Amino acid sequence: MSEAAPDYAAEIRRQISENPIILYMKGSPVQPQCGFSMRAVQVLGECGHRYAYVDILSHPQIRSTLPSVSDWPTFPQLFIAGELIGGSDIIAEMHTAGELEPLLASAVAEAGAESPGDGGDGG
Amino acid sequence: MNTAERIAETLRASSLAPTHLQVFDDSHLHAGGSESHFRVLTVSERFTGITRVMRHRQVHSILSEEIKQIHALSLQLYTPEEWRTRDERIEGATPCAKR
Repeated sequence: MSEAAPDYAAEIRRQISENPIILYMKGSPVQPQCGFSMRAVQVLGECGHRYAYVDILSHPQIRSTLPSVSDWPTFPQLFIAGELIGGSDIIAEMHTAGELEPLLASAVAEAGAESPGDGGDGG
Repeated sequence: MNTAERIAETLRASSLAPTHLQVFDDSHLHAGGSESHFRVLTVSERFTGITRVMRHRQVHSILSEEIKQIHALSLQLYTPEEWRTRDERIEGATPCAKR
């Protein structure tokens, strides 16, 4: 029976490792459903890099599993190059300090170098 | 004791030993109802030399019981050195997406 049960922690780890930038948020970048997710989306938009997102409101199992995987209790959560960067407070702080965009840029560049096969995604 | 006071008391009594602490109840900005959204601004020597993520985790861990009861907790965490040299502009509350 346990073989058939989806392993959400493994799914989350796969998402985080396969996407150089991934945001777990409430709603979508076009329609954020929470002020904190909206703030994260605004900052990422200003930085101008493509990113993946997961709407945790439509994926309740991801919502309930992610906090134990990331050791972080709240949403949104931003991962860059496989690392938890933090929630909207840290995203905004790093953006203000000018630290976020270079980190995003290097993650995108590294991912591009590692997987030349899907260059169409590289923007 | 209301939730903001309880959060403040828990942090004051913790190993964080904050040298500056303000807890704001931002619930009026949100659809989540009263006692739902809080913001902590605090300064502690304990934040020196560790990453932002680790600072937040320290506070999450101290406030683990409180976090279960509320909808959102925003954290502004500074070392004494950062607090002394910070921008005068302190970032305000994040309002809800719902208008």
